[in-house]
Amino acid sequence: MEFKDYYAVLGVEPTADDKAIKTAYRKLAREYHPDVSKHPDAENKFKDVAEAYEVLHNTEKRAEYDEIRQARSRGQRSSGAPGAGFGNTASSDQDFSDFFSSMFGGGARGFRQERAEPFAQKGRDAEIELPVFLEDTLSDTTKTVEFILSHYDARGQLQETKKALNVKVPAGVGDGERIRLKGQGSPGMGNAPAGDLYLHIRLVPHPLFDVEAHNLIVTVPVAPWEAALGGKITVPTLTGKIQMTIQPNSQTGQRLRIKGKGLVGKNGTGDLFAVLKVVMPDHVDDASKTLWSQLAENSKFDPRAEWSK
Amino acid sequence: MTQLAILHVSFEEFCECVSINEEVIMTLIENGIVAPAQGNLRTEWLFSITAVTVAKKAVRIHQDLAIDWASIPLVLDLLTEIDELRMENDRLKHRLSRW
Repeated sequence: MEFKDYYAVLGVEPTADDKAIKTAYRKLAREYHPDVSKHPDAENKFKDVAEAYEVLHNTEKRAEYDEIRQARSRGQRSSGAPGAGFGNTASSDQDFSDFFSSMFGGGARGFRQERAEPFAQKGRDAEIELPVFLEDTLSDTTKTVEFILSHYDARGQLQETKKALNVKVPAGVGDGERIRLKGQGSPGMGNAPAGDLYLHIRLVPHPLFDVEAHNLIVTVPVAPWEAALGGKITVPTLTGKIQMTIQPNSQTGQRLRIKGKGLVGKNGTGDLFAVLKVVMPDHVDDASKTLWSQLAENSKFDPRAEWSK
Repeated sequence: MTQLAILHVSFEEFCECVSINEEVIMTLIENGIVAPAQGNLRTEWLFSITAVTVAKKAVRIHQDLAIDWASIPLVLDLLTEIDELRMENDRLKHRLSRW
């Protein structure tokens, strides 16, 4: 088992007083707490920091740890497991290392809800991201989710179980929304119920449509003469194609509203906005060049009139 | 077997989901950290599943970062705002790439 240097984890001297330990913990917690940190390894870093603090800010635990630490530096192998069992006093809902467990006994989990029965503990909740295509949000849809649950078996061994579930995802789910599946998390200990599974909905970016609340945006490339003269064009929607009229003298960036072709929302269906983008042909042949030249000679249009004011 | 997704929970279930006692949940509600999505009486209350995640986060931040309950809404608001700005920034960048 790996010895943990809790003082090094918190970056304090072994002689540090309670105040210094608290200050060091607070600083590192702000830096690595998974809820506030964007550090790629925040979760593991914070686990180490929380474990170190759990031991060092508690006088009894710290004394016990110091004893093991000194015995170790004298070259003696600690027989491990004094197992005094301070039990469930940890401040965070997480698993501490084997090293911690060997000193202070079983999983230190949660101050939350003290339970009467000693060996019953609700299984851990699991959270996974569920990518959902825009098309799938228009009506109720069934998705298969696969995930891995980790839990401790009766002998205290960490087990991993692979699970697959069919989940009915209701119409109109939005990006970032969460869905709960009761009892699909890790199994409970003793007679306690299993944890729950939380699905974190993520809308998959679409190659054509951008999402703006419950509206969709599609960028429509148009030829200069289509923009100038107007005309009918075909525009894709999430469910098929639709015919649309462009007015003469249309402009790049102009938004045309196609009612009811957006996403399904709690307050009705959103709209689809077609944003016009005037594009030039890749190649200009001689015949076209002649036509553009005629336009250039006859037009009084100054696209940079604003600049010469 | 198809699992039916749950979008709302009662007050009792809410306490169970967050794994904290009613008293703490009431503190969360009093401080405006979470609020029932529906219902006037406590027995009629329904909470969204998103509220469960918010409550869990509030409890973690309160414990791990030693932030008092009254300051939690500000912390959560700022975190949410940062998240939303990041998401909006990603969306706008994506849209910009089409031009």
